[in-house]
Amino acid sequence: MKPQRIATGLAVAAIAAAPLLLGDFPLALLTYVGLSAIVALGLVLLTGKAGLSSFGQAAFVGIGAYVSAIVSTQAGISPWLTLPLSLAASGVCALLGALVMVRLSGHYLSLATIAFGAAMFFLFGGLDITGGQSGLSGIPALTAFGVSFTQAVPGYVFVWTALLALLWMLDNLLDSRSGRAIRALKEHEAMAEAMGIDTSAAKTWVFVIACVMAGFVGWFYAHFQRFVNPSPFSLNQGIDDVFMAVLGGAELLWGAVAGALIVTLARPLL
Amino acid sequence: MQGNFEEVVFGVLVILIFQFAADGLLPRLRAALGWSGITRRAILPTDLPRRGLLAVAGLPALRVAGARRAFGGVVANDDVGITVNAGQIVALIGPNGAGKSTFFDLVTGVTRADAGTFELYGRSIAGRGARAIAQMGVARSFQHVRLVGDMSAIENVALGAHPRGRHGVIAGLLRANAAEERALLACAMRQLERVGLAEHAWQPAASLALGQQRLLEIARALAADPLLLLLDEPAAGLRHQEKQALATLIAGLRNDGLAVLLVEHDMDFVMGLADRVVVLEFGRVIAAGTPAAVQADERVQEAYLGAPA
Repeated sequence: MKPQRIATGLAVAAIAAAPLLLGDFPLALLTYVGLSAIVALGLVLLTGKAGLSSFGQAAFVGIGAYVSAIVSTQAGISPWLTLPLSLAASGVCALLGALVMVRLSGHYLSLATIAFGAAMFFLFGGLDITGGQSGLSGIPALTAFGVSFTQAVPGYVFVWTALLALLWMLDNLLDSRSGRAIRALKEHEAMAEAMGIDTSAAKTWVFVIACVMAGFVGWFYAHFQRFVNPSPFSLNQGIDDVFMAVLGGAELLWGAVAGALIVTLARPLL
Repeated sequence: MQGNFEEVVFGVLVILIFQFAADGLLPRLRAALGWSGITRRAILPTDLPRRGLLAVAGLPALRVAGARRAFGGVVANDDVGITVNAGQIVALIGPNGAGKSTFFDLVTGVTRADAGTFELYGRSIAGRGARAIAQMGVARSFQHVRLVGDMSAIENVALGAHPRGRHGVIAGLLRANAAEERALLACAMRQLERVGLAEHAWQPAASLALGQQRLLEIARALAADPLLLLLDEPAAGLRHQEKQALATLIAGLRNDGLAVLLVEHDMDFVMGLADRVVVLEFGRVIAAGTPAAVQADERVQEAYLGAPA
């Protein structure tokens, strides 16, 4: 058996064992680690694999969070029904962003995403419908079969199951026809075109996937906290997200998990 | 001040970490453990659908006439005409700056011609982009090798077969593409066997020697099931024995009915291999014919060696 498989198996076993060994507070902390890791995982795909950059992923988390918070609160419907809305909203925004993104690269792309992140932060804090700086409260909790995912163990299980599923899916993707095309984008865009690969489409897919993952995180976050305000969706958080991916190692999918773990746990320790 | 101080310590730690592990912590750990990150897969006897058999020996595969391209006041290609038949190797030679690369870029759609007709088996490829031309069956290698270094050799070759697959991102995410993946890898493995690199299939492309990397580029081009193969200085930087092996390989491709157009500096390599040689100088064709005829041509000798004393 390959050592990497064994390492992955051990990591999954540790993740599965955590609810049995840890108390509520560390589990809640690890839930936030998992949420950050999902955002960072999108950035591993975007930055580490496709060579694109985005400092605006926190804004996409915000889009997912606010859409679900507003609709579920005002229409009084279950968060399960607003999940597709959150994913669609972040996905559509990413598609619009991709129209610009495929034409930009390097520093220009970074600056454009910084501008987007900053603009969205002020939008979240300035609109009436988002509750301005004071935010929105009284957001319904996510529940299933009488279990509320705001509790430590269910919340942890939900987030880390989603994270592991996404790791599996992205691993599949990178080991496929489309994935090889994505991996050629980073350094060899012209070569990829000469191989008959639609690089604009590949970039668009990568960006949409990363942003829909961020939107998913926002959706869960809104119903986990049951309160949203603009601060977790700031440009600073967007920079932290990139930082997690790069620190953990943007070449590897699990680098996102390592980076999120280190950054989230190291901050309170200092 | 307390909060700010934490940020400063954190920042310093970050800088230190990046000093010692520029690619991030986990890749650094993986490198220390000597893991490659490449997963070997079983290769099954399966195949991708091939193009309809257009290649009939002797039929013109590529026909270019009146190709012109100017960059500002410099006319890089002026009224260039070249025909490459199926089962034929045509070499494009000329001194530095003669316009060989420009011509390559025109045929492959990297740059657009100002004028001229470009036909691939009678279908016009003029004005199309690089991707469309590649999908129509024009495959190429690059003068400066362009491989995805951390990807295995076989995966690099599978990139060339990209237009022959259909499954997209969603199928990839859910692994609903298993049959096609098997066929793509089997096709890639067959091309690796053709160029003699099968034993290196699962090595990272960057770990191969330059000569092997050039062969890998040819394998990648062959994976496209091309009608026309364009090779940009395939022998550059190769040792004598490697050149001989390369010549044998290219001659074999000709015998399989492929049309091959190659740009080359190495005269010995070209003269022993090509069926026809076209000589460019200052963007114009100054001679064309068999290697022997071209070699005897006075204008060619002048272009290469300067005017006779």
